[in-house]
Amino acid sequence: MSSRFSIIALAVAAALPTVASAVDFSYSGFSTAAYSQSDTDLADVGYTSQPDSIDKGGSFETDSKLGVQLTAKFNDIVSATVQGVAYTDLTGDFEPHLDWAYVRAQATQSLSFRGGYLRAPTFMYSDSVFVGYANTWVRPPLEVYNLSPVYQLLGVDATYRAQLGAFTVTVNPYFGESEVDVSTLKLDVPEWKGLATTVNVGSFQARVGYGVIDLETDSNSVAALTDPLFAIPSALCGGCASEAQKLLIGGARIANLNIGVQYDDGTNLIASEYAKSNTDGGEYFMPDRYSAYVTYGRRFGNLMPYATLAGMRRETPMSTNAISIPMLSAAVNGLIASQGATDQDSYSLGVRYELPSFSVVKGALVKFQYDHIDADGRGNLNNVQPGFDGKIDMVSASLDFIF
Amino acid sequence: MRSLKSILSVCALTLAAAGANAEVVVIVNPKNPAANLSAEQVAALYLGNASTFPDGGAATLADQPESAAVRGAFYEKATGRSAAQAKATWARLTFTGKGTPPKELKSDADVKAFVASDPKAIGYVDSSAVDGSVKAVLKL
Repeated sequence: MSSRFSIIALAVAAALPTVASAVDFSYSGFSTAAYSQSDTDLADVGYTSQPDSIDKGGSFETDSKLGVQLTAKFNDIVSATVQGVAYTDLTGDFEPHLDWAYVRAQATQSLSFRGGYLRAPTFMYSDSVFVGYANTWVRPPLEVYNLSPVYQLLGVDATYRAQLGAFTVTVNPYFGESEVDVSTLKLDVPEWKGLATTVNVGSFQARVGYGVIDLETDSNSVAALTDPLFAIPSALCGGCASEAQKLLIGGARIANLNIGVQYDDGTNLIASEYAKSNTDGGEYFMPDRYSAYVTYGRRFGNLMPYATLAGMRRETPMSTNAISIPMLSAAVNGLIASQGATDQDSYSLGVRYELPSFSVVKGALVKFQYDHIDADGRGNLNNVQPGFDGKIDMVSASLDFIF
Repeated sequence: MRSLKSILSVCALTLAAAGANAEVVVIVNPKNPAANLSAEQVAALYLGNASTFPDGGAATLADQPESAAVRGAFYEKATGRSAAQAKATWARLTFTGKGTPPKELKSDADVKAFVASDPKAIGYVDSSAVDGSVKAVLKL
């Protein structure tokens, strides 16, 4: 056994140099060091359910990232890419994650396939949202980017690109599964499918994305309420079972529609997205919402001031009268009133400044951003405490590198 | 009055000379069937919106070093963007697996040698460096 193993090992070792010499390796990386501080301890700004996000005590963790990517190109058709990114996840720990790990095959000049760990193109900048150097803002407008509970896809995607005169059309279907650990529970996505279609013409880009996420979870925290609701015969309480379903994240289906436009003529940048999220099941925790933002930036040499307006509206009601049993109705309404995002508006003003590159740093940026958030109730915020008036002023600074 | 005029004409001459020095020529391999390319076609390649030449053949892009004046001039004239803006675009494409940035070479001579040796290659050099080993397809 051992001699056979060593023969195999020898053969592999002998073959490695020839394989290595045929493979074209390249590596690159990006980093963001960001600090943000708001004027209140009564609510935190961050990704949905992220513990320890931005408050009066300040946060280095919420937006800071370090990513390293290695690509091995085997020939003109097949390549493999691994990208590890350290960031603060939804359990609140800053730790490394295997964000991308895929094999890519360029089937024809216009068609490619990938399989492995990918980031789904739910919103216009979803797949590059961690690459601070590529983005205008310190963080994406959360009114839109918080509409999807998951970002990473384990599955396959295809990219088809066609040139139709001055128009470049890109069609990107994807299919797979996902999971994410949130501080209080684990979300499983047994099936996730979607399609993003992008049209580029000159300085203009338009994009439509649609994705459907099926959710399962190990959490059963509302069973004490939902079990009796399901148990009551529909003759006694017609609305009980359907209202119970709206309290269960397990079995929920989220449909995300996203329409984005970008205009960038080199001097003026306009980016705008509209997003609509519809939840079937669990909507009292993940309410139906629509949101939008518009960003305008103007470049003066290396300096770009920018401004963003964003808003989110909740469509799922904040109460129900479908439960005819008073005690249960009060308990359910109490829960509904305390869960899920509510309306929020915000505006942001910032500057993005390109620094000269140096040494191994191929590009460097510094950004300063001011945000004013006006939430109706808890808005799109985390860890909201009694007495919060819905208003937050926040400042952020970030230093972004690519290398 | 006369001195002001002569100062102005010196300025104009200097500007013209600077302009002539900064003339950038986009080059491809002599085997490439394209007789010429438009600035839009070159911009599409160098901003990652296209990966092929108009005839459908794959393109391999060469870039100049960041310190080279010709790099800034090329991006400004061909794409209407600064070299730094193009870099942000390539960062987006690189880290989402949608493209591979242009290969950065050291000089006009290196870009010319690279383009001369690869039928799929495209690059840009100062006009003074162009010779018969490559085919000029666009003057910027």
